Amino acid sequence: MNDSIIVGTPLDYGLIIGYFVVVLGFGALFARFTKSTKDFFFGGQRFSWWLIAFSCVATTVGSYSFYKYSSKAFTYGLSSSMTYLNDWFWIPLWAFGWLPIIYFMRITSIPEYFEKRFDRSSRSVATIILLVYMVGYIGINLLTLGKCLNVLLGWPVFGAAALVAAVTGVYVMAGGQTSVIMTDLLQGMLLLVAGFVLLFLGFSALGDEKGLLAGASNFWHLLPPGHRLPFAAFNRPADFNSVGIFWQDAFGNGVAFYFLNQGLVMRFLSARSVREGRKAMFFILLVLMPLAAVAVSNAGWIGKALAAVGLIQVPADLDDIFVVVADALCRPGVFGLVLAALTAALMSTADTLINAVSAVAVNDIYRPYIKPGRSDKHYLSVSRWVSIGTAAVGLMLVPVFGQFGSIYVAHGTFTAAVTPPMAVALLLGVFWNRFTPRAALWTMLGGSLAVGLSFIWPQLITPFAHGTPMFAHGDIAQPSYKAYTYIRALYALAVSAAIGIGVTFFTRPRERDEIKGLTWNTIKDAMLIFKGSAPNLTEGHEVSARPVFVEQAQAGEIDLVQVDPAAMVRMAAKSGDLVHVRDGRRWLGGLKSAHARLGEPDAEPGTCRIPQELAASGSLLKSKRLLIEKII
Amino acid sequence: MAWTSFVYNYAVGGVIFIVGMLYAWRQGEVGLATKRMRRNTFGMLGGLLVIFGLQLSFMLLGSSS
Repeated sequence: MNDSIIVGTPLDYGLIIGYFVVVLGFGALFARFTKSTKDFFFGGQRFSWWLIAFSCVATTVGSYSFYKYSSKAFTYGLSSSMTYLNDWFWIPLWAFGWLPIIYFMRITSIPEYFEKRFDRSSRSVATIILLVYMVGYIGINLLTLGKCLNVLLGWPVFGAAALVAAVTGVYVMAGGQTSVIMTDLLQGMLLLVAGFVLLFLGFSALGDEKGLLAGASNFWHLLPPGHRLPFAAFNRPADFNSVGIFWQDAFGNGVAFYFLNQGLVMRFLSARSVREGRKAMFFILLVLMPLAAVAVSNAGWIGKALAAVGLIQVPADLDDIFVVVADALCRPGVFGLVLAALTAALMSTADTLINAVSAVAVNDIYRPYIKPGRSDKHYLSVSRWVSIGTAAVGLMLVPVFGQFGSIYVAHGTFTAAVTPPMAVALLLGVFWNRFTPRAALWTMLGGSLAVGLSFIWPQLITPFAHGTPMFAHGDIAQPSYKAYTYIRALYALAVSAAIGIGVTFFTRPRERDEIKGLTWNTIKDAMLIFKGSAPNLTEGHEVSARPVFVEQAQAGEIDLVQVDPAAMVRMAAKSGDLVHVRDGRRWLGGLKSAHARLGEPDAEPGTCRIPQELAASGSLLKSKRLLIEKII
Repeated sequence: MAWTSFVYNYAVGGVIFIVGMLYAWRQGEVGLATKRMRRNTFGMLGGLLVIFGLQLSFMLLGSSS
């Protein structure tokens, strides 16, 4: 494909440039909401569920997703959607176990959890694994988009990657998590829209001027029968079987993504409450992920139908099917929209990772080991520069990853090997009080070693293989590291779990008092620590009130707000409860808001007395009504 | 073979889901006693049914055509 470059029209170029300008504008606009490291990394814990949900989908869909899933969709049909629909099983453990722990214990990074739950050695190992994983991931994403723009527009790979790295690094540096969430909202919508535009154009082309419904019907009948099923064959072929993908994606990647991915964890910590975080995850898994599955795969499904009636030529390399279908269906301008969506997919994944690496580097290395005890302003400044540095390091890895024949296989093999031991350590740590610090360390070290050995002796994986072939091309001799690409995850999970459970029975667990708030059955303790007093879990309603800014806060506390007694009753709240106060315009999604504590109820009816300093920190306006919600 | 995949997916995934629901029940997050518990319970089960129903529909549609 590299020698048959498809060059966009000036309109397409204009759209791409305009898109970069809009994204940079977003970064500059939202930089003013970032005043502390809490804002930079966690967006001030103020956002509504829908903002979190859309931005998470933009993070989930990488630039390679359109390429990779279209290729699999062309070859195997609707079963390419499997990986987007297999995460629901984890939601009870995530929503009622992991999310409240990290939220109420104010866990700023995954390594920090490892130190609090286990010890400093575990934290060090976790920090190394996470940094390697995330920086490498940034490099892979930059390379993918560089290659994509090289094919589509003829730009040099490194040059295109450098441009995207620069734009992404700059807006993350300026606005931190707030910019990431706001730009990802835009980018999430853009990539879904572009995906569905392609689908409708495909139906239209197949409808032969009889309308979209006729096109959809023709599409269905042109698909080979085996392509109409949502699951692939159980254990064949080696490069796309459902059992391997189930263990690699639903288990290995699922846990890594929702429990361990620092970027995703930070996104959910930016929600204004645990309940908003749960709502966001619910909407992501139930609505947005199925839509994303269609958006990233449909070029392959449509391509199969178009090829059956001779409307496109099947490319020699099926990775190029997305480009071929987009080129065949899109007019100038629409093609630019699709390019912008691809760029959006990359930037929205890379920005999250850049912000996450910055969080780990500052909170887990710089703050505790290099310059402890400095002001928050100092750490904020360092965080901004680390963001730029991370983008630069990711860019430097582009030529390194460029050496691999296939980006996705290199990345898939890398993540499947790195994440399972850490995933097992985390799950056992959260859901088993008896799990010991020594066991956590050996789970990560021993599990990683076992994975390493499986690259030399893939026969170790055979007992777990469920009959899947060792190599993609039958008996042809291949390097051992290419064996059992997907099912390696089951081997890694099983060996890591065996090590963790075995070592636990021979070592001493931590006292229950030492792990309060850090395991699933001590979440009430976490709430107590978060609030500083007993949590109020009685359900109440949100109230609306007119703000009255006061110079002097009640009892000199700047986070204390007061409402009238009727509002207290409606919220089912008591003095001392934690509340979230936000600008009443719901479409702002909590951008202008602050967390506060309820004082004695002696405000005028229908008003909320709020200290000027608190109002300023939340960018609240005197002229706009407030919405007040009890948190706990 | 695709039906084997479908059954395997929901059998193994179902174990994780049930374990999660048991943990949530022991914490008092799901159940039928309060409005909050009922909302959580029906939300979790309803979500599972939606995904299951979607995939089952395509399995039946794809198998019959």
